[in-house]
Amino acid sequence: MQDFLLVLLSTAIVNNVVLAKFLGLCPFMGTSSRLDTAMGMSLATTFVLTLSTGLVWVAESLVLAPLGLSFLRTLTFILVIAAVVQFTEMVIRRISPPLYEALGVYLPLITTNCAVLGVALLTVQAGHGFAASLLRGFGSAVGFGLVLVIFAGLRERLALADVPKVFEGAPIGFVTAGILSLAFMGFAGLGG
Amino acid sequence: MNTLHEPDDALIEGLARVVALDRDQVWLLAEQPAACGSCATRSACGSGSAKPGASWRAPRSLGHGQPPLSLGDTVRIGVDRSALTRASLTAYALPLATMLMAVVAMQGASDAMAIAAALFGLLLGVAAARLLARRWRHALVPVVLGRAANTAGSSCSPSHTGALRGIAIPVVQQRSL
Repeated sequence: MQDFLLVLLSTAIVNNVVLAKFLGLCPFMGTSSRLDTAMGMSLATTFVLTLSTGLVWVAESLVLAPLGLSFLRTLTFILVIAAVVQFTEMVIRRISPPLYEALGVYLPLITTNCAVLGVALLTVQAGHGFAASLLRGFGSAVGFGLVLVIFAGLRERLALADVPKVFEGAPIGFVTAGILSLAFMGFAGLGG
Repeated sequence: MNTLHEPDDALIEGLARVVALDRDQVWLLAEQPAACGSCATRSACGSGSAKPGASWRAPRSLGHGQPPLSLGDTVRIGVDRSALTRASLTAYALPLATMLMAVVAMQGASDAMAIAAALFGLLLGVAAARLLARRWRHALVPVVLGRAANTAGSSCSPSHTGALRGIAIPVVQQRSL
């Protein structure tokens, strides 16, 4: 259990997918202008990223590696991620059509989120077992969501702040993201 | 029934268009907030126009001396923010939680057992989420907040872009917040 907690801590905070590995910056900047959209995006990404990490582990361990087809890894993983997104869309529409109306718009965006592919590739390269890989994917997704929600809160406050004209909008957003990244560097070494 | 509401932080607002008239009621079709609506290849990317959306029946009268809604009008609709958060947590987080709990419970077992446990946990979570979704289904039915002031910049004409998607699904109950 302690190992699992360390994996979660490491992937969510110490090696944060956005602020330490600089993956998924497009949705990070694009969907963090409001807390609502950030919550929707982070929940959807968490679901897709965790599922796809588990599935790519299965594809790599049971199909690609035994058949010596590891050179098809990137292609296969993209296909798996796209399939997971389609599956998630179907599930959400079955569970709640109104919810799909409100938040389903974020799902296609996840297909092109490089954080999902990046985490899948890094997890497979790490060579962990299925459970640890799944938790690694979940931890990375939680880290993505955490940063997205924090940043959305900051941007909502920034929208009301009096910033110089040239810094309004995206520039002050990038400056804030940089400072947030520096703050997350402080977690380096945490947990051993 | 008065359907006009003042702007409220408890509601997430969106736009809907009147697509049919039915005596003293209208059918509203939600406009999809297309994230890639400005992309030149939106018609080919699959997130544009082919998927069915939801529609709602609402009173034609907006009250307060305003003219009744007519075909093609665009109105502002609102969905309860807390209901939406609860719904998204249930739909996304519950299946994940059951899947991860099942995997952690099989700690030390072989990978094949862990995969089977994950699959079982996921299916269990989806089934539970579907059952729970029935409870808050009505809470997610939007209310009409009023006529959209100017939709030229925020809404697209369906004849040009296919921004309105969907097949009409009758939702009889209109919830007033």
